[in-house]
Amino acid sequence: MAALVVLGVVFVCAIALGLLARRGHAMTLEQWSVGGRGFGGLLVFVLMAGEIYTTFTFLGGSGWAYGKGAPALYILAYLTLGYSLSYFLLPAIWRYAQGRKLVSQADFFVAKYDSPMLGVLVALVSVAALVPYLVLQLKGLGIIVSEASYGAISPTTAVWAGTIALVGYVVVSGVRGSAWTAALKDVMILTVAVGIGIYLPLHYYGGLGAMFEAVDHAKPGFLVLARAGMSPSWFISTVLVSSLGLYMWPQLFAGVYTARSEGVFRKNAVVLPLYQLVVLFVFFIGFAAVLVVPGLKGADADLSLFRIAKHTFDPWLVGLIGGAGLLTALVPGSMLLITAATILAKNVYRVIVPSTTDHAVGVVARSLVPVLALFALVLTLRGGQALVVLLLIGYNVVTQLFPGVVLSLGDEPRVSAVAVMAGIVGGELTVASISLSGTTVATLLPSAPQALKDLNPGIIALAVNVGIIALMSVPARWRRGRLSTSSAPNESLTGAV
Amino acid sequence: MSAAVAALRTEPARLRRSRRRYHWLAILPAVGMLGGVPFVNRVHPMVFGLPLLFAWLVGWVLITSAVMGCILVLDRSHAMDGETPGAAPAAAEIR
Repeated sequence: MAALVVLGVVFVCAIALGLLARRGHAMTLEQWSVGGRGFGGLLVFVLMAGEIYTTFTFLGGSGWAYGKGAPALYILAYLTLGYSLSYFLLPAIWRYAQGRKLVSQADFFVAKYDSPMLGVLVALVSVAALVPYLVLQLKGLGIIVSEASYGAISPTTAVWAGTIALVGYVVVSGVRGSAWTAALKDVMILTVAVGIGIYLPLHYYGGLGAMFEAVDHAKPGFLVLARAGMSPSWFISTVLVSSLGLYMWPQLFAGVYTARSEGVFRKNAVVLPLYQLVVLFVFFIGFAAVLVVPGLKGADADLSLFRIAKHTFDPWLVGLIGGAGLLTALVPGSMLLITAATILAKNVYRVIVPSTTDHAVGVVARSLVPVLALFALVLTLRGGQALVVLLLIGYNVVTQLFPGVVLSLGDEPRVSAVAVMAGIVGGELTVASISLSGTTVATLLPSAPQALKDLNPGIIALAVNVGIIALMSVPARWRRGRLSTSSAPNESLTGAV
Repeated sequence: MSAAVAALRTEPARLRRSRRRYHWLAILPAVGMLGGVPFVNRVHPMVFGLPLLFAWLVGWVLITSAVMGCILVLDRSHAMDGETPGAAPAAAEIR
């Protein structure tokens, strides 16, 4: 009971912060979804870092360390490389978005390629990627509430409670609520993760080295990458796909717009790799749990953090850990909902009904929040996937947007909207067929070398995507090169957007 | 804004790039971190209580931050010299 009370107090604090943040700001769509573009360094930092520390890092990270061992380290690697890429990528995106009133990621494609249809496609792709991510947060919420209740609340009821809390929170506060609650969340998660990540190895094993020796002894090969399956080749390809995809997540992409200046991103690229080292302590929790609370199989590995916490600490402390976990689901979850709702209202609904006013788009966006949440809720209650599986699928989906963004970064896009659309469609169909049928390189090419067999399927989809764009663009460029050597290319078009 | 954009357009892209060759340093983390993985994929010797693979990745996280820090410092000193209008026209406006 004590645990649930603490959990409730944290939730009330989060709601109160959300309400406070709302005061003094008229809620237009721009205010609600990108905070009026007035966020300074610290807030953007918190918001962006907050995006990364989701339920996934907390429960999925420890769950993967517990269930799979060394492959979990891919999280540490892809975040680091994603941040170093962001140093070059984000300022360019921000500069372009400035003064163009861009609100969503799809807006960027519409403006760059001058094609609302491409915007619709990107919008649908981003929502398709956001849904598994949202399911992941709701699943996490369910785990946290039901574990913190020591079984008094069933997982199903817990997911319902979590979803209602999330929707209420989003409708009340929008993105400003996210930023301030993100600050509270980061303080809590840092304290909790580092605290118990250091305490557990000391308490149960006498030290970090001793813990790893014990785990290595009990499960040989657990602390290294396998020779086949989750091998170095799997690791490298997964890190690459995920790091390219990191800022293609629509909520992170739109988060870029909230900044006041572009210098913020460069500083973040230096600081965030260090900041995400906290994930390492989350792994320690999972590794400590391997020998202390053995026997959690498959998706249940996501429970390992709470199981070892309940095994070790008093209920009030478990409640506090649950509170930190609650915030890691609430903050990113709210951003995911806001982003998905904004995208659907602005980039799909408005294209279908062009007469919609700005005000009406805002109303549509807000009324879509409960609809989307309910949809994700249904999926959450039906599926039994581990958190990390959901995330990997989502990453493969969003990474398909990367070529289109990069090829547009010059003064004018290097390829046509049609080529980008065809590439995205090809890439996504590949992702879908691979994810649904369980195809891997190994089943396609049984005689290929093992390193090739273990490649992340996202790489194949990305190759299909880029291949299609190249096939459709090279002849066009070649023709244009022959035709327009005398006349200037249509430069004025891009300036007019 | 439009003047800055126009200035950005007219400046040859090649010129802008050649002054920022140190940006290639940013590839170092990806190549180093991932390239080493097949060779350090083992538990022993442990480093600071971490299995070798873990220590390798953590080490590269620190190096990545340091490399990006160097690039940031170099970019800033270039921007102050006023050498590179391509760096940040928007940032200049804000100041």
